[in-house]
Amino acid sequence: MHPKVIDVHSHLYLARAESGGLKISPPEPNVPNWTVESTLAMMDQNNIGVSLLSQPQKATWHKPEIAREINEEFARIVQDHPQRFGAFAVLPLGEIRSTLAEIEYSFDQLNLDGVLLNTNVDGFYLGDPRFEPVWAELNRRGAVAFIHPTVPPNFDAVGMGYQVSIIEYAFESTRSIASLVYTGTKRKYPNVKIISTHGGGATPFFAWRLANFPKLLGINNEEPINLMRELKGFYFDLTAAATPYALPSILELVPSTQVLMGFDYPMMTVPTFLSAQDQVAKHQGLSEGEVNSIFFGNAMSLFPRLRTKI
Amino acid sequence: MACSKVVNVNAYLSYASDVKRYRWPSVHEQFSNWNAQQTLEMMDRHNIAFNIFSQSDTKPFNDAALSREINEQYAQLISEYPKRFGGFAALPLKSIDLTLHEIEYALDTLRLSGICLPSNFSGIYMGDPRYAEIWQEIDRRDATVFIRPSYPAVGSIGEVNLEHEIIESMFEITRVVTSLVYSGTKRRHPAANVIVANGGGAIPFLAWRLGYFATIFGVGEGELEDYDAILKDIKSFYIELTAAATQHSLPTILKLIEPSHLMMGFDFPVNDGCAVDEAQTFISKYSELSEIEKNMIFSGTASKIIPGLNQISKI
Repeated sequence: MHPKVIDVHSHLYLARAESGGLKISPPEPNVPNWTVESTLAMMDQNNIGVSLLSQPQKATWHKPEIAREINEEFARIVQDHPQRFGAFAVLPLGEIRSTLAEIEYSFDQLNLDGVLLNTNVDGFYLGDPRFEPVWAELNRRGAVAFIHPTVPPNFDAVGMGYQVSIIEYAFESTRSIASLVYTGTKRKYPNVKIISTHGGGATPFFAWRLANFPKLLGINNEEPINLMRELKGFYFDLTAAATPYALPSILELVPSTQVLMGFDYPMMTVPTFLSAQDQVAKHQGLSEGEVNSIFFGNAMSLFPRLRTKI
Repeated sequence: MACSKVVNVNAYLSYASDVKRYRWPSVHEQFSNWNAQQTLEMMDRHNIAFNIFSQSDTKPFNDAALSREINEQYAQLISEYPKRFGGFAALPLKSIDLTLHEIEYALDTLRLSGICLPSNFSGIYMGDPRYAEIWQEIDRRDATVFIRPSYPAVGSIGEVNLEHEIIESMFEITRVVTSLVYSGTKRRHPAANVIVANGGGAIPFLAWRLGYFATIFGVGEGELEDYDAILKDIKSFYIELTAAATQHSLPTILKLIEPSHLMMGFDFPVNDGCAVDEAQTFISKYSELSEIEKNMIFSGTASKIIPGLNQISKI
């Protein structure tokens, strides 16, 4: 058995009438309703010590009151099971003032572990100037930001009728990183620890291209070495990327100290959780110490309150 | 350079100065400005034995006369420099009948190297049933197809203010391969040699996702697929390595695709200069590849599926 894992990518889908009318249903009809008990049982069966919960639906973008209610629910769950759960605050990202207020409340009152950012908000990617105050505040706090894909603008024109997460979500993660790097946002706010999920979409595979093409195509004079340095500044979780295909590119771009585990419960099927752990544990070139840091050590460094809990 | 000479399957008739920031010259400008000698000198400078030209302009898709003109120009070039140039035929995709007719003319009469398809035409990706007859014809002929990215029909997807070529073109390639695999088009036409441009877009990195999600969401209404079957389909493509012969991409590509299905491409002459030499040096020095495998990537794989290439002795 492997050492217990900290899972940074786990979703809470509540469908509870008693929660003040709050109803957050899973986006897929075959995903079961979320309960603390069933999730803890799943974690125990799959070697997961801690799950960091998030709620990536865009229902909160213009509804600060929904964000607040979800975050208070997160805080209750974490308070009841501080050794098993953490949470990324959801933010009303379409309303910047409310977002700043929610960041303050989530960190200072609710003690949540970080924030969730969507790859785009109403079609605006994360390097857009409208998000500057958010980055400045997260930077001031040295916060952890977990970036989760959402449906891209114009998806219907390119989606071919396939489920959006299969390939388009990976493109979204790549776009959001490109946006942060090319606008200089990443460089300007170096204290934010940014986790890009799903192994960064396809960012690690395209790192050479992302660093070299602006100059090569004459778009601007950005030096490849400078862009590459920014690309190397992200954390990546291995949700659907603990594979022989994705790992070589990820580990080429960043050291194993910037790699985390994620399973995307309950969207991904549970049998993939243990097989992902096996893939990492047996990946050629990773020492036992590196595997341990990917499984839990790196997450403990990002979230110090978990250090004593496993 | 120490390595053997290279076949470049991703080349156009235009110059780097024309295509900076992708202000594409028209087809007529391309042919009138183009100079064989200058291109041959560039090829020699970069160890390229053979260039196969194709078009990224979308006008020929709507204009059968223009497609024909391009293909005849390619044939003319090839007749003058049969040991240095090849061409992938442009097709008037707007009409399936005219496309079938042009495939016959381009391959039987003009003896071009194969045909070129975009990722999508008017928003319809190449695995769509409306292209079924084209794939049947390609399959019947054991023909070679080069698929290169086009623009999404809506122009841009995300307002990242990025040049399409940096990453969105890679997503286009990923979509068209997904379309060909999930629709079953690739599996139904095993004799078609399909070369995917630009390292296969993000397909190598995302291969597990394509296989896994086919078992969960299915590839169509109620059509769950097997992971191994999907991976086998993906492995059946040929991939050219424009901007992907790097330490960030190649190890992942080699996990998925055999060297006998890999070949060189440079988006030449857009990437004239360092990138062309760097890519060759990278492959030459790549320690996990045997000399035989390196030669496959440089020229052997292309010679196997491009008609006439294996008879050109000097490669």
